[in-house]
Amino acid sequence: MTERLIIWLIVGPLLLAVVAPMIQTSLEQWRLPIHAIGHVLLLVSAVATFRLPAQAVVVTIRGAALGGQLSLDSSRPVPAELTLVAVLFLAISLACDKLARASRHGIAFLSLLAVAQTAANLTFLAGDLLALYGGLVILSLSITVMIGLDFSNPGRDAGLRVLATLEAPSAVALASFWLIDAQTGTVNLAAVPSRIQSLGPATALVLVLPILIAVIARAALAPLQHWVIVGSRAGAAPVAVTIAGLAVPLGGVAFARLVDVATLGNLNLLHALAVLAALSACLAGIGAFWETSALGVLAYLAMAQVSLAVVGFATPNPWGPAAGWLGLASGAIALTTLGLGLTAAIRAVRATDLSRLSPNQIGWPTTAALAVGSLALAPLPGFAAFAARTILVGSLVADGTNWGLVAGLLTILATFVVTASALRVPVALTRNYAPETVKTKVRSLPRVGKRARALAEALPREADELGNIGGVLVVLIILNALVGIVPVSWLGSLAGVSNPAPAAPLLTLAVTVVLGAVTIIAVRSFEDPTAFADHLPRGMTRNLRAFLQRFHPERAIDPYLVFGYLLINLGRLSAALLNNTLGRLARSG
Amino acid sequence: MPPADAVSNSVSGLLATPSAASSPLFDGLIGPIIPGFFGVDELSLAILIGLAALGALLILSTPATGDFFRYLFMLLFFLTCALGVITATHVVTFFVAWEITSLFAWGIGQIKGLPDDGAEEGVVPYHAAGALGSFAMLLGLGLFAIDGHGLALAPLPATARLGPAPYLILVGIILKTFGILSEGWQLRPGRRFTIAGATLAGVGVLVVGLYPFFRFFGPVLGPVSNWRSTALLAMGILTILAALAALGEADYRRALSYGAFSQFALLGTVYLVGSPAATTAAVIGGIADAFAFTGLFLCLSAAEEATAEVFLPRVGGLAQRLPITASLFAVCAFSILGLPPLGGFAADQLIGVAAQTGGFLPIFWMVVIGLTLLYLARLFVSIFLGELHGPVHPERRLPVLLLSTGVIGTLVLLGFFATDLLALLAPAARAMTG
Repeated sequence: MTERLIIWLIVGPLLLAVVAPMIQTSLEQWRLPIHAIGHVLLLVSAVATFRLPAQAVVVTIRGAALGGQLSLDSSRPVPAELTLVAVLFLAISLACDKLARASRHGIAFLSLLAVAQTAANLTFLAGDLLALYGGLVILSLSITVMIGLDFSNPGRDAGLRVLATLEAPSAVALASFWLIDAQTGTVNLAAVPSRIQSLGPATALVLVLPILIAVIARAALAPLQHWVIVGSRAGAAPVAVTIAGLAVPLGGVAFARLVDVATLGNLNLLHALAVLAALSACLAGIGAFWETSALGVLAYLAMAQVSLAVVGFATPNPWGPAAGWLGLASGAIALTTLGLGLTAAIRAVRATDLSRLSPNQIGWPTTAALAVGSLALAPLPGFAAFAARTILVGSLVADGTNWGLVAGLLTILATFVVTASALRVPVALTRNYAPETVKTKVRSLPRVGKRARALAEALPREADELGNIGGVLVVLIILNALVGIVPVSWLGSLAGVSNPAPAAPLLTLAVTVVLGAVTIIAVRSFEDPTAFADHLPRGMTRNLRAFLQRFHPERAIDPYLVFGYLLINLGRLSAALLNNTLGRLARSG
Repeated sequence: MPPADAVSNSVSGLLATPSAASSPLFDGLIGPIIPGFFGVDELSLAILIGLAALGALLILSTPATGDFFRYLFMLLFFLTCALGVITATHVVTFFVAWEITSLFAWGIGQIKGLPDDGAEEGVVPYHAAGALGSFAMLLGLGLFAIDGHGLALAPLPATARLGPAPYLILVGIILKTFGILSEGWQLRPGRRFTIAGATLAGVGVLVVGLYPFFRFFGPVLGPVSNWRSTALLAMGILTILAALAALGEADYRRALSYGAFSQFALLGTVYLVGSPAATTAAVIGGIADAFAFTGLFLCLSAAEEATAEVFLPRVGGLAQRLPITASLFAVCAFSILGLPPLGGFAADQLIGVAAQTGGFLPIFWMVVIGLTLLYLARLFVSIFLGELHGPVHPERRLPVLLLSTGVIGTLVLLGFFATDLLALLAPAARAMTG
């Protein structure tokens, strides 16, 4: 039963990828989301892994005659990882189902998404280097084909860039896996580091360097980060969500699983990686701040989140990896929420430019998803990412080395920049850009008959045409809140900290709900930001009106103004964060 | 070096343990056919198995060409002569069979779809490579016969003086292989589906290039080692140059031909390392690559038939019209890169064992595998993704599906039966390397 379930988790999505289009073709008149139904079954299978015995379950598959093995083990907290990733795949598949069926190669996208789930499951379950490589190569190939599915030349160029950046280092790493197999007699992830160390420094360097470069590319750390941005900009919105919400975080998972092999526990190398990752997060934040495409912003934010998680994985104490895993999981949920929100918004306004997002045309679930996703990535207190960042900074300070301090300072700097960038999305929504649609066009025409005007008004909102996406977004918003509650206590026990985050569970939920509600009300209520001043006492309005006029629809937001405003707030936030961390360190130390 | 008990995987075990190296599959197949002229040993039997499967695949492909009988007859002649090359144990029979095989390879390359279809680009300079190769081989074999004091393709004593014979034979094999591959890209068969490229890059390279290389630089010249470092250097440089050429070439058939040549040179380099693992890795890799390149060239031929274009800037988006072809291309590319459970992975695992002795091989191999991925990725993305250019004929589903099943099935089977091939080759490899 155990072995069959684990093998099913690998084979099931592949089967779904092949069978679902056939069923969809034969049951076309019913318009059932067959892929999503398949993902539900896979989610049930993933949940069933919680019932597996707690000890290691290793399934060895004789992949080929020459001793090829596929070791799958569930000894780590794999069930939670599998379930989370199954939820995200289900969310993307369900949200994009109608959209995909309306587009030419949409069904192929849904099937490739199922193939990517095989890759994700293999990445989590792999017990040896070859199985892990297999998962990652399937992932990068499916992502490449997804990007190229629009069959445009920019898509082709981006696909080549993604494939070359990810797979060229991986192919070299594959060669080093064979060398490791030959020299140490094993490719088991747990056994390899100690075996390689016994080979001597020169041999170990030759074997380990390709793996290190491959994981840097996978986790989108500088200077091998560009594939994320290029791929997200070139692909359709659902593809960008898949890259940002799944592929990049899975790169982080690959980093976490291979960091022991790639560094062999060398502290200097680990510190250098932590600094590189923190620098990458800073770069990503700066990139996101100047990016004009909404999907590009999403890609930069994904890069930043995973880079910050990598800082945790490269921190040589138990708190670092704990913060990394929490940051990665919550980041994946927030990125998927934000990404699907952007998908709906882009669909509604028919443009990918961030400045073109208009609250006029976006439904409330989309607005809420954009707000909550951005705030969760910021990270605002109450969201899991905030707890992760708190623990991360604490672990870097506790490291007690200059490298740890540098990485900690860079992490705080990255938090500043990433927050400013993440908040660009809800800020953009306050700008009230009014795109020209049939409705607005008809409204603006002086002589239109009543019947024509009524017909135009009766047209459905573009956002309403998206089918399941509203429901999915609501579920994801709730999930963001839940992740803020549940893992914090679990993480506390894991990291040996009594209460790692200041936010109590109820406060987390309350903050999420209140922030979401306020954002929605603010966005929905004031089509013209200056109208806000009308609700205030007369004496206060002059200066405020002047301030709010900076946000007038016809004018671009002054980035320096927003950045300055954010810096003040973030200063308070980081002061609270550091104060909290240092206080806890003092108590625990 | 690792502790002795650490190296315990099955590959090393099979190579090191004499008792493990036997397979009942091949009992009674080894021995002379015509004593003194033709015979079968372990190396030729392994190549023959590959040849039989490749021949079956190619014959299966001939109905899709629209010129069934001409291809079938040429193929039968070509495969018969290839059988002669592989079983030859005499210098004269080898050279005659090698030349006639090359002639039929050229003949397959010259088959046009219809009499008024297309136009040839001309003969020089690539066809000249084959002719020069023949001349170098003839000269080399002559010197070998004089220096070796006989015409049998038997191991030479370690003290034998060889002069320039090994270098001439090496140049002959390299030029002939390059010439064979160039026949594929010089072809303009009226833009119809052709098996010429697949035959030449698969069976052609295996029989005309790799097998003579394995035969001469293994069992025959192996005991004399003064030529080895020069040959190793030459093959190493050729590997990198050909891979770079594949990366920069705009004609996709030429690019893949350069890729096939790079893999040929890589396997030659690995073979020249001379350890049992290296020897078996090169032979198994040669067979696996022959299948993979057969599949890749069939894909390119389908692409050429669909678009009537061979230049990468003028094609694109073919995955829309040729989805099965695109999938076959991806699988064959993965086999070349060594992804389990396809045939190429067995070779890569063995190369890993061969490279554990250190030296230049590990880093060289990593560089080549990276370049190989880059040119294969470039070809895949450029041909199958992006915008469609001009009219594209739809895929002929049934023939392509049959071919894909055949090629992929064989690659998977090769992965699973690699142990048997290893068991067959291990005693010969141990004997060859002392």
